[in-house]
Amino acid sequence: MIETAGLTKFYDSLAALVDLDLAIPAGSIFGFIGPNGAGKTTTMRILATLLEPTRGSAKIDGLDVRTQGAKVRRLVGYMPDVMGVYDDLKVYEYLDFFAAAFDIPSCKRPGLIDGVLELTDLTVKRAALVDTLSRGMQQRLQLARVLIHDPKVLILDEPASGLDPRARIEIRELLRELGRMGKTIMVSSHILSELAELCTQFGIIEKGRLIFNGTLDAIRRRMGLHMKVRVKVAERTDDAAALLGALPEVASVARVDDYLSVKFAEGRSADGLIARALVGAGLAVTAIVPEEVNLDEAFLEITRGAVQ
Amino acid sequence: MLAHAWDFLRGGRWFRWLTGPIFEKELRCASRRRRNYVLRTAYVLLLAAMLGLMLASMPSRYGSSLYNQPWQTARLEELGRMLVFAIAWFQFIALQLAALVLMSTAVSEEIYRRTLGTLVTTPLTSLQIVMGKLAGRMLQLLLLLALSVPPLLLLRVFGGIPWEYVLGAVAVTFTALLFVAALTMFFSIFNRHAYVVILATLIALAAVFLLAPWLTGTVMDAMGAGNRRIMASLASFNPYMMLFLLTEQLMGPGFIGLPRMFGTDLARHCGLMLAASTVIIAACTAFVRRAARCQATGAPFRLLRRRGAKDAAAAAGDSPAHVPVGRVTGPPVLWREIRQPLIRGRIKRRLLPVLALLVLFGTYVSTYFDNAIADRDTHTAYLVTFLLLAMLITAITGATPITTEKEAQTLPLLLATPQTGGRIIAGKFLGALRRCLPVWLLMAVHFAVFAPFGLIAWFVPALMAFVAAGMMCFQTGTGLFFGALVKRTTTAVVLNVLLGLALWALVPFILVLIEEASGPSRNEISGGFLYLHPGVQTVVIAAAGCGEPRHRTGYYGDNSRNLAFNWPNGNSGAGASATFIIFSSALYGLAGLGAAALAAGLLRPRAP
Repeated sequence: MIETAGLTKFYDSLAALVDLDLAIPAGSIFGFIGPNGAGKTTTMRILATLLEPTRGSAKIDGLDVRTQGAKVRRLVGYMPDVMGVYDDLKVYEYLDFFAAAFDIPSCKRPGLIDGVLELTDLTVKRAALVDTLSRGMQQRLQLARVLIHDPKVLILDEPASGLDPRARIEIRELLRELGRMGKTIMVSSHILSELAELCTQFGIIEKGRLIFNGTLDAIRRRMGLHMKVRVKVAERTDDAAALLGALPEVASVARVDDYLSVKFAEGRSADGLIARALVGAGLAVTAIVPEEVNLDEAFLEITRGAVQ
Repeated sequence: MLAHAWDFLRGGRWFRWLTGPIFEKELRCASRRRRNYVLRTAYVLLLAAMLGLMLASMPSRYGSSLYNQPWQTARLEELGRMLVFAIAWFQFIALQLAALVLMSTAVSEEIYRRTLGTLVTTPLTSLQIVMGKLAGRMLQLLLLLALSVPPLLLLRVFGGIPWEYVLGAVAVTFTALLFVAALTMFFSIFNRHAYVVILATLIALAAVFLLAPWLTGTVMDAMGAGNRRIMASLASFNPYMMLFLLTEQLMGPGFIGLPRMFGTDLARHCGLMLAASTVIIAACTAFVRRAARCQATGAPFRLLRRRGAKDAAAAAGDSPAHVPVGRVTGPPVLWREIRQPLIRGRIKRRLLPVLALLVLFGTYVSTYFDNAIADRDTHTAYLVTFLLLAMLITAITGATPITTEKEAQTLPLLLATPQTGGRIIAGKFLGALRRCLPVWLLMAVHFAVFAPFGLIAWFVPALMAFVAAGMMCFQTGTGLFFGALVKRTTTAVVLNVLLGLALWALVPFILVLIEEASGPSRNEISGGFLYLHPGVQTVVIAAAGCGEPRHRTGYYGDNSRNLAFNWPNGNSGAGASATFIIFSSALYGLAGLGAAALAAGLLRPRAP
């Protein structure tokens, strides 16, 4: 549904985006992750036809964003990172305005507006002035706005930034619901763990370059995060550490308090290996627990090199 | 005790106590702002160009007599006085305009960037915030004032220019500058947009220095006071009048120096202006903390505290259920633009038109008692005033629609819809025209009042409609162009107003000076250019068709069929004049549409 090839954007001499190649299939929820200033917003603005790329191409549903901007805009619902609201309009009028801007006939608008208000749980606020809404409600209104013309693709730039935990969960549930409705969603954040449960595919961008593109499992495999286990033996912990460290499948062993943190070499299986080795050496194993996956650590590790 | 006081005064500690770190911050920021350097350069260049052109026009003005020994001394004295007069008035006007622009962002920028609330959470006092801002920006203005002092002093070598005049002109300028700066700062506390601050200050200045003296003068005249006494009384609190009196003395025939009593008048004037400035600064100090609290909490700022159920409902975000929700009809951008009123706030919206009409009819009454209601020049002055006011408002309404979208960060939302740049600009264009229309209708009110009495001929409204239409299209188009080009509303407004000033004040002035320098008979260029000048067109139309018919320039004898218009390069017939006015209106209209088309092209590439 969304494809970019060699997408590059320069602001004067600053490279905001360098040769970005993306392929986001229809119906997927794509998490676009990166630190501040990585190029997420630039990519999204190009896809929303707000920016022209310096070179390369970007297509949405086969339509080139550069040459077929008008058609692309009908397909896309774009929510920018900063909320812009007309302070003199009411919620209903705000949505009616954007419905009209998308050339939706006047007779169809009331039904559509009622529908998106219900979906975003804003029906009770239909007569409230937009600038009197709380930040969470304004975010929901923005979502209602991007849905008003029933776009195939949603491009959401940090939709949960600045929201309290409850509002974040609500937004996440709403996006999940939209994903179930078959929308292709591109959502950005600088926190990987925030999108972990929501997205089916991830792209990690740093300094304008895509440094990772794949599923959450692929991230885990790459970082070896699900190949870490905690081992606790009843006695002779040092012997156990030496034994495990000598195994070719083990990349490293670290002693943390009274247990051992064992990291396996990339691509090696951990099935039963530790238990067999320790028991075979006559050591009493009291616990073998897979270490909890820390996506934020993974994100830091993936992006660390480029930052430095 | 005395030693402490002396130490406090000597080490500059009093200044730090008065302005806090704000002064230093203002200076640091000012040194990094390119616009301050541009302002200084433009000021010096304009002053130099004006003096250069005046000097170049010297031989054509005086001919060979300048080089004739017996005449030389007297002529040089006269020339010196002219140059001093020009510098004095230039610095007086230019510095007030610069003060308006520089001070308009003093507090409003802090409100706009939401930093004022943070500022008042520090131990800084309100006085330090106000004085720090005022002193930091006044210093920039004083630098400009200092730039024109050396030529003023140098010109004394021409002879015939007393010290009192030079010092008096500088003192009047300084006190007027401080007053304007303080007043602008006062308004910047209540508005986050600098252009609104500028407009509010201009209106206040017009009320204080134009309307009030006029009404006072009328009353004093009715009470039998002589002209000279009226002028002297009004000059006490009117820097324009004061400088006028001062230069009148200087430029008058047989000038032998300023009268001794003048020093007293000058001191009284300066004292009053300083006192007024102090009162305004005190008001700023009183209000700035409240404005900061409102900014920090998001509550609307009100001069008078008002608490009620309506406010509570608004604060809670619940609009009353019975308030109807509007439906979008027609093009959405136009619909939204039409909804936006020229004046925000229900009370202001109802009060200001009534106030404007009251003031207008008040001036009519004053003019009537002055026996000038049937004068041609009275109506010319009215029409020119309406034109200038309407042009100023049009320049503002035209420059705001795009930048307000940019500032509210709603433009990307609009650009992400299928609305093309052309459709957006067309909606904005029509909306801006609609918003500036009420101000142009003041002219229509004037016609409606006086045409039935035969004081305004039928063709005046018809031709003025063309002038108005041309200006509305032109200024709205250029305003939209500047709006698409820049990010901030104030920048767009200032650029649009500056374009008007450059086209209709600076260019004619320079053309006239160039032609003065070229010779007395060569006025084809400026004459030709002035034909396109909306002010000149208004004066010509008004002179031909306003006032009692016998006073009009438009008739030869009593035969109304011989209607003629008195243009700068001579008389023209009614047909030719009307054709030219319609042609120039179309020209302005096309230029405006062209600028709007450029804006449509710029909208996406210059999107934030």
